[in-house]
Amino acid sequence: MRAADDADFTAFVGASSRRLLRSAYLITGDLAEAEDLLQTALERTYSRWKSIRHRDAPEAYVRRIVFTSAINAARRRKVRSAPLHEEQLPGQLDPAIEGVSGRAALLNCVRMLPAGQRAVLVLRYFDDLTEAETARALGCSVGTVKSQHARAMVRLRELVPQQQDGSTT
Amino acid sequence: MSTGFDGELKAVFETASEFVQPHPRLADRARAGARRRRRWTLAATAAASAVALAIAGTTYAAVAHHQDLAASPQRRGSRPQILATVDYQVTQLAVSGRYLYVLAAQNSLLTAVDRSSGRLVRRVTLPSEASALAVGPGGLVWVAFAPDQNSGPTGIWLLTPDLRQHSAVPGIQATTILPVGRTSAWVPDQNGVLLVHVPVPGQAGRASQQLEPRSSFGSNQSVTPGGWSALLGGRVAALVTGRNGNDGHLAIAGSPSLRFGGTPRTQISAMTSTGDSLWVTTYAQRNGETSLQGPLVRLNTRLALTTPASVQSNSILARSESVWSAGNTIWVASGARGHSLVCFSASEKIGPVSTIPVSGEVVALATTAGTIYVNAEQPPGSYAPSPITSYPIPAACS
Repeated sequence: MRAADDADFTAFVGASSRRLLRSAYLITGDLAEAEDLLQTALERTYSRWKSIRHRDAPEAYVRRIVFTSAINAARRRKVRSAPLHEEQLPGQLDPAIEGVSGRAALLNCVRMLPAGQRAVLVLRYFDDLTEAETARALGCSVGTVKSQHARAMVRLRELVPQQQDGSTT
Repeated sequence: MSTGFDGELKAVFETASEFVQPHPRLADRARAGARRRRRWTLAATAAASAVALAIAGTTYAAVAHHQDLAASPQRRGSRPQILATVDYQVTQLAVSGRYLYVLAAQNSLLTAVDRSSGRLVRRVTLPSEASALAVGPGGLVWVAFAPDQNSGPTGIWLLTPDLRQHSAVPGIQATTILPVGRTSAWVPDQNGVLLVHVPVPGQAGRASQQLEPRSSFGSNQSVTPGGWSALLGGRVAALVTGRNGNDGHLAIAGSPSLRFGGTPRTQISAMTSTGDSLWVTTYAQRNGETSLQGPLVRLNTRLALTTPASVQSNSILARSESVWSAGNTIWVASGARGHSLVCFSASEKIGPVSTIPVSGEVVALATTAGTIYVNAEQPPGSYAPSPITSYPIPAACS
């Protein structure tokens, strides 16, 4: 790879990596796993950087790898592992929002959603993607995004009151 | 949306991830990882292709011929056909008899495809991430696996050609497998070369392993993770590294004083063997600029350079990225525009170079009599299933 390409890649990573890592963390709930996912995605991106750099949205390319890998990993974990108890769910409550019981409860509930639904929420509300962009990022149809989103919201409406009740007793 | 969660979700996500910071040298880490990944893929494919071809024989159909060493696209009689498509990242292909084997290391999947119909015959989920694939005598399939990020066991399976039955030897971490018998194989590791025996799949028996005497690659030298090995004049040659992990060089088991590469000017990207010769793709690091493209060289059993002049002077082979062999045919992935995959005969006389009209960077290949199967990188942004395409082998390459 030419030095100019290398410099471009370094600049891209510098500009995009924090946002991408935050997204990865939100879907996995585990910082170490998120770092692994992002680095793996960037490795694959670097291998094809010569052609990717000329496209408008290399970030979308990386995001797609991160999210599909995260969902696949979650599915594999589900197959291989015993069912998770609530206290074993990936990720811990963030101390920064511990005092905000409503938000804490909401975050806990998001982490209890299936990985696919969690991914839709992160892409829609954290990455501010449209439904079409979310569908492209996940490699699925817009209809699937809509249905996953709707199911996630229904489930959140069921879970949040339970969490809040639990936190006040 | 009328759920009332919109604003809350935005705030929750922002706050919960506020503390997250990427590693300051993430770009460097990604570069290093990409190089390791590429070496792994290319090397593993080289090993499987070499073994499969040695078994399959070397009768190739004539489809094209070029009189000089300068490559030109293969056109006459060239009919690429998509044999199958897969919806995951292929890391290695191997072929034997009626089956094409497709390994997806990260998905822990090994798939057998019927070569005549393209039909999926059987798909096997491995206990953890795959690390090596080879087809041995009798068409039995060797596959090694090691823990991935979700953990898992380490070991080797030996499977029947249709993947219906398998036997296992646990606890061995193999990055390459060199079958030497129907149920035995050499596995290079940090102590030397292990001889591994596995029961015939579906039959009772005990697996065993023993270190071959005088097979060390040198003190503190271990086989590179995702590295390569090849049989060179009946001995095992492998890419090994010292403790610092960045001096990857070729060594021969039992002759640790012999070495090639491992310097900034001569890094190894892939290797394969044909009898008493090793063909090695090299690259250099200059002024912080790195490229995995570089000259193809030939080594003898003493790891001394014996590169033919016609190979040295060829502009396509000067930009080699990886190399495979099948019988006396050498296959080279090149960075030269329009020549991403070329082949030539390396029998008594070096033959002309022919180009296979592959579009995209070669990810994995496997060859059998008259046909080569190739999986290439899809265009960026293309999320369509990845095709495995068959091409007739040019007569000039056989």
